[in-house]
Amino acid sequence: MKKLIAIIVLGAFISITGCEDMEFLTPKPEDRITRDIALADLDGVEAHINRAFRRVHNFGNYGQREMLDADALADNVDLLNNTGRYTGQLVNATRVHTNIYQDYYRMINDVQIALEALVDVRDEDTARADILEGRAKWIRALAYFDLARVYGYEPGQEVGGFDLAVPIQPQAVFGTSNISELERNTNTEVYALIISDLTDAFSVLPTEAGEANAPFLPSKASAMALRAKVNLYAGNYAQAASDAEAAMNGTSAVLTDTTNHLASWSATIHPESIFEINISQVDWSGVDGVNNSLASMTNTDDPSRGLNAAQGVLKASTTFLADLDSEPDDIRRELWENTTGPDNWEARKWNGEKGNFLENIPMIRYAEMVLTAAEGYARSGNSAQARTYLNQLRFSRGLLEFGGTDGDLATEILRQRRLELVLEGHRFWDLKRLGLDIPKAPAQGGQPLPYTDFRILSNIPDGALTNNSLLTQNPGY
Amino acid sequence: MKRILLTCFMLAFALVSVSAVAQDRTVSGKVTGADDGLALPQVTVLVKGTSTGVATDVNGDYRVSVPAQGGTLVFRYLGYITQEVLVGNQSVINVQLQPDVQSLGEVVVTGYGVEQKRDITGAIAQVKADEIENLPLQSFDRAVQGRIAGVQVQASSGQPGGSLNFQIRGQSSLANNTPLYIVDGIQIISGSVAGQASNNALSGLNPDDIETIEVLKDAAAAAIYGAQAANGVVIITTKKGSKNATNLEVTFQAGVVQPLELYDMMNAQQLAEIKEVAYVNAGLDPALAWARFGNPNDPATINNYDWADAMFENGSMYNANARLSAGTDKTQFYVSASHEYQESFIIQSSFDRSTLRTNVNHQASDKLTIGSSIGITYQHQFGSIANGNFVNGPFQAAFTSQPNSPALDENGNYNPYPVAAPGSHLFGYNILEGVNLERRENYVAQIQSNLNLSYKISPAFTWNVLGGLNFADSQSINERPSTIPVFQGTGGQSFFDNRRTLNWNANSTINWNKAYGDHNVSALVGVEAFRSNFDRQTATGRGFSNPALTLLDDAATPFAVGGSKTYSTRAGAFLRGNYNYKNKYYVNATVRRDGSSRFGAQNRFGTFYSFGASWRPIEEDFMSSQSLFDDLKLRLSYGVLGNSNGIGNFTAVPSFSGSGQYLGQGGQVLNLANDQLTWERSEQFNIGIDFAVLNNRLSGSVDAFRNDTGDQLFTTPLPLESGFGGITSNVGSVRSEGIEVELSSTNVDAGDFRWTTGFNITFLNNEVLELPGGVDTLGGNQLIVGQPISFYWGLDYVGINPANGREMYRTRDGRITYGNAGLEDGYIIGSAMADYYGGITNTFTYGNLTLDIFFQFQGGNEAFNGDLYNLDEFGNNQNNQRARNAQYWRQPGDVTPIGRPVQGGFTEGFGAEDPGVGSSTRQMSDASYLRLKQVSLSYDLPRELVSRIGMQGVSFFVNAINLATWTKFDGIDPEVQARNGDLGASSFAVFPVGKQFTGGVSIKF
Repeated sequence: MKKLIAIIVLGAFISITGCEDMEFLTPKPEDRITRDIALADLDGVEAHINRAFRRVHNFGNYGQREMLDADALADNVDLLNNTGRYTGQLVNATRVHTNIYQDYYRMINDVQIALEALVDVRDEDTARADILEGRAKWIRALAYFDLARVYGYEPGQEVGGFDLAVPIQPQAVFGTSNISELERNTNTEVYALIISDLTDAFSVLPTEAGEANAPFLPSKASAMALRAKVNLYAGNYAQAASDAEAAMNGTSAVLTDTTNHLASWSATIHPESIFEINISQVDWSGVDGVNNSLASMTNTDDPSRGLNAAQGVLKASTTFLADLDSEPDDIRRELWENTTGPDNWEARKWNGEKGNFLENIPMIRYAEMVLTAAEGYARSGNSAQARTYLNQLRFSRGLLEFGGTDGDLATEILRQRRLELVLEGHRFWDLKRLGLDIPKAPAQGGQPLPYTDFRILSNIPDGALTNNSLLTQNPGY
Repeated sequence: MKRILLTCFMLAFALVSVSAVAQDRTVSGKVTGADDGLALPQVTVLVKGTSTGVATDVNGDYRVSVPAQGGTLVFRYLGYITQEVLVGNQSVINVQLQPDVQSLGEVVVTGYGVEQKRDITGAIAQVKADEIENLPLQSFDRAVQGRIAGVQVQASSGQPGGSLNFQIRGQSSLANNTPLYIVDGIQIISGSVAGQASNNALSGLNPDDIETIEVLKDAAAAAIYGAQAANGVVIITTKKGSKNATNLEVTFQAGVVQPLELYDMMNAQQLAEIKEVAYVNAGLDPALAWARFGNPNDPATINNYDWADAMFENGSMYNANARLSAGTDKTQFYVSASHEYQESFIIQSSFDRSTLRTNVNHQASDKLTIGSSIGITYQHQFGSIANGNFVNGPFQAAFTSQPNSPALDENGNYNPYPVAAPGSHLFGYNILEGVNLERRENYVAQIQSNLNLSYKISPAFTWNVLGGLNFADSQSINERPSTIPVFQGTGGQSFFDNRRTLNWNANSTINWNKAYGDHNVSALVGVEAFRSNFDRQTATGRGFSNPALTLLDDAATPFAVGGSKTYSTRAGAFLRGNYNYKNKYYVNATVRRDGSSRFGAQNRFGTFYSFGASWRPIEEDFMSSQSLFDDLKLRLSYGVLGNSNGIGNFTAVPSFSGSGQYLGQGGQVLNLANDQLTWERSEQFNIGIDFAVLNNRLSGSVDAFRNDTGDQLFTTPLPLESGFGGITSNVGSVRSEGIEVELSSTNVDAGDFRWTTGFNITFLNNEVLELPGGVDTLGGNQLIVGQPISFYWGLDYVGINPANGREMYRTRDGRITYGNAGLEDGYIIGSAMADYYGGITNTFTYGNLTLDIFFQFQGGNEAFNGDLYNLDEFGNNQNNQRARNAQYWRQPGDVTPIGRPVQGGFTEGFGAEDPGVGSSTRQMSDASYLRLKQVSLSYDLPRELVSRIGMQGVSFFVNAINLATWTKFDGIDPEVQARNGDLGASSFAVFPVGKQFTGGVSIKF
């Protein structure tokens, strides 16, 4: 009897320890799938590209910070309500800058996984595969361009010869085996990759007419538009002008005029958008609108427009308003409303017109391309063309023909960029790419930030430095 | 290994028993307990010097053969003092056994069995019902705080029914340091099971239903739980029915709860003064400050309102409890019901719980016993937002809200906030309105149940089968009505969050016990399987026609949905052997092999084991002549235990999952996985001594332990350029070591007056021993070899520069800076881990009066109070300030701890509160504390009086909880340190504990 029991018990013991691949212990998750299923087709590839587009409007990126930091870091805005936000950027506090490092490398890996997987499934539908490749490369170009301008100097504008941008991740990361430490590449290396990606994207993307979801997905026109911007930053002015013209020729977007410019900011799709990032209510939690949206940052409480308890953090700076007021009849003056106090001029660019603070965000507008063409020509010695494009923009905003000399063209174009592209993520970068000191409004003390100050560049985040021994911090930090 | 085990086991069977002795005449009698006069069954009655013995029957009766000359009878029963009676010529001997109040004679519950404490080789602490009964605390973990050596309990919220950290012997794991909880043999759910208030699954067990709590602290004690035992095991046994008796106890108590001392805040006048200065110093027009905060020189513009006074209150509580314990010879049952309602000291925070428990035991035959226990609880919590810099959290906004802006207008309606410039502070959130109108609720139903069979195969063999089910179902609701201005745009929003956790486990064990003369041998072999399922659905609806309609069906817009589903499994087999010789020399060995679904296919199984030995010199001849020691035992143990908690269920599965969308098309992401993942392995040593001296007047234990845990489950940081922040890996090794002392003494025992003291203290040290690849640091400052696993990294705050009123910090290389420090400029400035903790309780009894005074303490730890970011910012921003900020720097030469107020808080690009690296000692302070945790006074009505009215006992009692605290901590409560991401602070707008005062009556029928 005892022996029998002992044998039964030990038998059970041994069978448990023996069956080490027991079905009971094999995980069968329902919330995830394996690579052979996940990347078996073009749908899987597209899903990774979709994830990257979703990241573009995270609040640290174009959803908020990349649209407003550039104004706060420069001289376009003052603080309206102190919620603790943008207070550091406004005074160019050390280590308070745009910080997109980690999220943009996530975006890069999303599309690099897509690009690598695409090789195996291209045959499923080569035309669709081309389009997906174009989207992936467009996103990658955008990511590296933004990283390069935040963490490094533009080619030709280096301070003290410091020409490092950010590391180029050479491969898709599927597991720890293909993770390695990477050195920072030079700005020219990164720009070369960006230009090459956009050139590839241009060749494979459909025309805008062929992209049903334009301007929410890239087309040949948006590839050219982004390349125009990149060339402008790189100092390839003639190329920037011609790319901008190509973008304008390839898009159905039009320049608004004094009759419809104000209303254009309440349109679900901005009529000038060559590329616009789409945001849907499902992308946001219940409080993201009031907590983080562009509309909440730039409007105060306005239940009549559905902007209840909007935070109203930023208003026009006094110097910006003075600049805007220096010429009469500028339609853009009407984009500013006086609300809670005598000097509190709020923008009406970001209106949350899709409800609950929600709206799509134009990232590249026709007007920017007009000014890019103008500047490209102006800085490459073609004053006549530059003047034509500048005036095209001025007329559309209710201003008279530019009366200055050719020598003043570039200055006026930069001024028009300030007035036209305020709260759209341009001002600080426009000054920086030209190597100019950053003027500051009186509310921030009025002392300009010299271009040679280390705070022009953002600091590489500590989390990046500590886990990549080859990475170097920017000078001064 | 398997073969060795088999051989061992078979060897045990190969031993053969011997017995046989001559007999002459018969003695009979009855054995009762001296405490309650009830019959004691199963008392061993031995003829001294022989192996003749019998056991008393269920009526306490026995009949035993004795030699003709009589000899001596030895009566031995667990939990009672062994008594020897000279037989002489008596033929009837009735005996009253005295309960043994000294712990060494007591029974303790070990894993899958029961042993006499005397026979234990491991480190096991026990808490009995009477220590934690009738306290106004919702879960047993809170009730044992400070009462057990080696166990640190810290509330992470003062929310009634809220969460706690319970750690046995420090933190030797980077992943998870929560012990395994076993209730009546069932592994139960711990942690939070609901979302809208700080929640503790352990409040699903009424502490008054608990008979004993055993804490298995070392390898020898815990190894039987193998892969889950590395953090120690807490075994809870609920009350059982009594044989041939009916005992009913009814208890009622009620009382109040009050906040601890809150922050001393500025009034409107003081704030207006500092704000005016801040605006002027920033080059702004002081009129701007006057418009918002009032003009300090014009009393008409100053309006004083005390937000904290409106938010904090005296909460009330009551608890009613009835427990019936009854039964016959064959069948016993225990049933209890309770209801508790407890408000907090902050508005709109409460806990409401009903519990029901039935424990049944039935002896179906001589061989078969069947038992079942079912505990059902239903609770409803009203919760508060805490632990973070949230504008809608009362513990943030009750202090930061501006005193110049009353919450209510003269008609009692809510004002916009702040009145002078709505929306300009706290997102325009009127905290009084928000907390009153928003609903944050948890409804939690839990079932803890089991069925067990015990079959006595033979006198030596018992077969036990146990199956258990633990179920927690919760619904958390957050309603944000459109009547709160910030939510008006949504038309009102309701969020429903339903979670279901279902754990089952089943085990089968065979126990074998045999005595061979002076050799006592026992063995246990068993198998066990466990599965835990979790799923969750959330839904949000918006747009209600009326704020009174809040169900999803009433919503105009189905706004959002979410959900998840996951599970894990575990299976194992175990074997334990115990041997002792003459209750003098003990050895024990345990081995368990477990498999877990959480790990990579190649590393799914782990083998865990322990060895323990003890020696009781008190039984040696050389000790027989001494009279100092009444008991003495030395213990030694070593083992290797596992931990698999603190990681996701599918962390080892390389996979892709859905994430986000663009233009209605789903997104997908790669989940970086480590298919090599395996158990944390904790190597644990323990050496201990148990003693009792001076006629058991002083007894205690001293243990020294060292837990070295390797293969730590840790999210190893990766280069960010990979697109990933980290990957869970088995990395490095951490040591937690320390010394525990536990003493109890009877200081005075003079007739009616008795004074006893219980004391425990634990000294702890924690350090990282090794990191992967032999590096000294991981992730820059995440882990550093030679340092504890948790520390604060930052700069020392030097103080205010008298020359200009600016904040100065010292970097690692000694440089004084106003800011712009990087991670590499920082250093370790403190640690949240205590160097020592413990408790001391004094009990004074005089006649029918009993007074308990219990202090609890911990020390050597720092805490980083995030509240000070808001409340001590020198008037630089919109928040109201602590009153001490009025001593701000005014002119060169001023020596003051408060800097120069500057609206915005930045001077020349440097932030007043941020040295760059994130934190500094400016917000850190010594969080050591001594707390008068409990004072209880009770009075028992005289027995004669009580029995005249047909009762067995009536006692009246009063309790005071958290009556006083002594600390240098610069915050409200040094105990509640809920870690959160905000600025790495250890506390930020936490929900502190409260002071409770209750009074009640307990009646026994």
